[in-house]
Amino acid sequence: MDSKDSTFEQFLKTHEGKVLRLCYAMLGNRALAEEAAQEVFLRIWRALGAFRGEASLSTWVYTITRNACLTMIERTKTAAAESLTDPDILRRVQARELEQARREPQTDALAWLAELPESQRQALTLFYLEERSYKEVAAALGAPMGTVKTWICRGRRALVERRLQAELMEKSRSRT
Amino acid sequence: MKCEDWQELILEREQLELGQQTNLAQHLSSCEDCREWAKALAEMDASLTTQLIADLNPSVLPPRISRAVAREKIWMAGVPDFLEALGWSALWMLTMAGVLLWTNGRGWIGNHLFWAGAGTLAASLAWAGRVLWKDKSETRRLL
Repeated sequence: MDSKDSTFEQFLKTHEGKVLRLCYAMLGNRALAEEAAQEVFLRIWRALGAFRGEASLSTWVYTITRNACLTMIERTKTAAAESLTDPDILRRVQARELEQARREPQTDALAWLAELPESQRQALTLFYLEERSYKEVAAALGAPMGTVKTWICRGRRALVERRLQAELMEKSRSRT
Repeated sequence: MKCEDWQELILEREQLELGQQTNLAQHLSSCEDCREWAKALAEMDASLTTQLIADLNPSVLPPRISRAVAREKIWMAGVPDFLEALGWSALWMLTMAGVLLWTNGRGWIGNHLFWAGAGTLAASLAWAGRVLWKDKSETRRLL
């Protein structure tokens, strides 16, 4: 094993969690997050010799991760748009939407989280995964701390309102 | 202060100063709505933390990345051979350009294209022989 390999192995151990959590927060899906994280580490492996230490290591890693996720989001959107021109897929999507509308209202916190605006969902996911550190969330998303605080507060408020609303509906249903 | 304002404080409870925390505690002891709101927030925080952490565990990333890097290494190892081939091709093309210029208008050379094709074939075979049969050929491993 050469020195590049051992540096990379050490690097993987220390940054694996952070990269995966940011990918998961940005993409909202574990399978996609793992795919993106793999791409991130490949990019890092290729660029390991080129890192000059001008930015801090974690800033560098976060930038690569955000770029990889944005590429993946674009790719997923394009694939989704292409698949929606297929009448068979379109029919299945419409049928699933109808079925979902007919079902009981969602009471799963993860589902509510997924319904939040993208910036709030990403910030909140990281907030919970990074032990509620605003600083860490701001560094990972590359956004100002004040903005991140606003996203998190709005997101948590929206989730609590959803939960209280669901509890209220549950109570009224059990009474009738 | 309205309940909505107190709820803003509940959201930032950990970062409040001691005085604000005391005021908030006093309000919570007297307001059932805010107490319920704070309870719902705490439950939501706990539930999401548990669910998100569970959704990301256990991590299967390191072996997957090691495999991807190993694949990448094999491809990268073929790059010097490829660059060598490019170099040989460039050299051959320059030579051929020179030959074609020199023979321009000389009828005794015959068909230029035939000679160019034959030369290219010979150079390709020479490259293949050099790259594929040398010691530790990565291209051979790839093929």
